[in-house]
Amino acid sequence: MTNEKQNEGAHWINKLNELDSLPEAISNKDAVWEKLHGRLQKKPRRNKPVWYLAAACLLPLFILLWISTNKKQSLVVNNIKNTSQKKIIPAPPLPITQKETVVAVAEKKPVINNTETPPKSMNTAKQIHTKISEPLIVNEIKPDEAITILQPADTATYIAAPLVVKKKLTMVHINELDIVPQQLASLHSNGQSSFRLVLGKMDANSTTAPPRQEYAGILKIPLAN
Amino acid sequence: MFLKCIYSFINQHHRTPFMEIAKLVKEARQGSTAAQKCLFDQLSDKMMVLCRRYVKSREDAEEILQDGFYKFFKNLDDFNYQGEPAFFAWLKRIMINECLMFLRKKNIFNMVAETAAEEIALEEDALNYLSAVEIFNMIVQLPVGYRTVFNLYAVEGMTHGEIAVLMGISEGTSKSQLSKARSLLQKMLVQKGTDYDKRKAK
Repeated sequence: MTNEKQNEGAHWINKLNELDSLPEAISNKDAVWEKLHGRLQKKPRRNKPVWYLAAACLLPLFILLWISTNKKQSLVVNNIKNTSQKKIIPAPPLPITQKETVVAVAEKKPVINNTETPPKSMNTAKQIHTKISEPLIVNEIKPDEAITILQPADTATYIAAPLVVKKKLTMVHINELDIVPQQLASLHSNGQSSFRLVLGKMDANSTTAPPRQEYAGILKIPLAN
Repeated sequence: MFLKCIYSFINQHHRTPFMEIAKLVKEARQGSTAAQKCLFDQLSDKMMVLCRRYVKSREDAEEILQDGFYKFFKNLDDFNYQGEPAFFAWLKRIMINECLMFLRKKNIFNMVAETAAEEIALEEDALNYLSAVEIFNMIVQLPVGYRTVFNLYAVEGMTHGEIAVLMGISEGTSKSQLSKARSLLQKMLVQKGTDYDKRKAK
């Protein structure tokens, strides 16, 4: 307080400051004290160490959980990447010079299809990858059905793909096939009850059979008696 | 325990001797509940008057008093006792801060600086002829903004700058509020004119 101000109103201010109590003082001093005492006696909360302890306990759990989820996520991401990268691209339309031919090869023993390499020139848009570890036994193939077997590109496609897809082909009469009658006669004379047809593509001008890797499928045809 | 018995005995017999504050403060610092109770008993009435000068409602004033004493006891360890005037000034400051906090919470300091249309100078001499309770009652009748500025400026001796900072208002607002408070007090004094004249004559 400035001296000037003090001098001006010192008297009434002193009077006011010396006022120790009012007629209507504290309603219940003891009650106020009890409340105050209760507040003063309250110990400060020690929640922090408990929280730190809980956090310390939970931290390894969270880390383990995070690692496990991260692994799963990375696996899924990798699979998605693989499938997206190795998408089946439809093969370009076949040139006019090529046509589908069937080459008949006589064989006594049942042939197991080599499924390690997929045929290159097939219309791959309709293909579905199948399991690699199960080679298809040709003996089980019916004449009116052809089975397309391709090597699966990766795990993701392996999971997604069905094992065997049966593809119906048009019925072809034996007379329509480009087989020399002498060949059939020789088969008969050799005592063979069936012969094998290999499906594949070859040039119209070429007379030789396409390489084994380029087979589109194999048909076993029984010979009539 | 022995001290507690003595304090309770004294309190029961309403002798209310003003025990030496320094001793009580020392014992209260050491955690003596009896000393704390004794300090509360000795100081609470005076502090209640102070709180009531700022806050009209008795219930609110009691709440503020409790909060103020709580802070007082909690911070007693940090207080360096340097005599009773300093001790009282510190306690008063705690209480005033509590009152201002309470008023600020109620958002009553949203005042706009206004130019007083009609200003009547307060004849402070006239206040000297009034009793402490009469002065108190007149101050309490002032609107809260006027009352707070008047208390801080005229009674506590703060400057307008300090008041502006404490209340979060401009200095101009503080000045105008003080001027209006004085005008209003003067009007109240005029209304009490008859009594005042009588007292003056005596």
